[in-house]
Amino acid sequence: MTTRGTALVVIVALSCVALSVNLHAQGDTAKQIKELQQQSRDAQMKNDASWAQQHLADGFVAGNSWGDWETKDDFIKDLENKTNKWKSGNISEVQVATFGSNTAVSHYTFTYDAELRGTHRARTVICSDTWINDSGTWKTAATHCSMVKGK
Amino acid sequence: MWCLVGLLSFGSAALSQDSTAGSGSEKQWLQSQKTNNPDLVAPLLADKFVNTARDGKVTSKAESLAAAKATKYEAVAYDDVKVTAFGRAAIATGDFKAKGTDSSGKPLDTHERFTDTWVKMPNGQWQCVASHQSSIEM
Repeated sequence: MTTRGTALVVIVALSCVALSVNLHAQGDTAKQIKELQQQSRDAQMKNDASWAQQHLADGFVAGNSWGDWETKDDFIKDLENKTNKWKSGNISEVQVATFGSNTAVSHYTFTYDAELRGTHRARTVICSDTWINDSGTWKTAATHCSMVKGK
Repeated sequence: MWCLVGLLSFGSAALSQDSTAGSGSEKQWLQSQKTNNPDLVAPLLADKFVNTARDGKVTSKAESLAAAKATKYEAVAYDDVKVTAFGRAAIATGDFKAKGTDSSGKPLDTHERFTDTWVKMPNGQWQCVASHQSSIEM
């Protein structure tokens, strides 16, 4: 094999390795986000504010399915409000898209039955969450949910 | 197509870090709204862009642009737009009112809230990767 041919083989091999590493990293991130997504809902079901304290970014905003906004403080106060009761809550169809090494967006369906701020809400919503990697810790920068028509 | 709405405010917030992208995007968006021509803003949406509408319908970039092309706005207004930057990502939220005709030809009269996720791509361009809307319950 000529020198040029050898160089070409090496370049192709290195490119394949780089692509493989990148895809692996994306897969790891997606897996991590899916786990965090589940943890987030588990904490919500238990009115556990400590998870939110750690994993909601400063500047976090939530848009709920009835059109209200909540800040990080609002969200945590709601979790600490013992009159808010979750009877059930399940997430499904979680899909994660990554953008570089520090941003990911998850889309998922959330079906719940809860008493929230004195109002009974039982519904299926579809949500989009934006995750950012803050010095090695994935945090939610935003979440927004809307009603799924017919559910 | 809430990303287009949120984009206008980016010139003074997240995108101010990149004046070329900010000013160019604003003009492009304004022009697209004036002419009901979403083709002008297609480059501002990432290839992996996903839109989630107030009825829960999820569409890709191509599907969103096709729907936008079929939508005819007579009046569009937005309010309370806020942008928060998180490094190479930014979140734009706001309030949107529109009247016109939707993509299926039905009258459109809506009041919604939106969240747009913007990412600074490797080439330095800010692109919208996700947009999500919900209706305001009265």
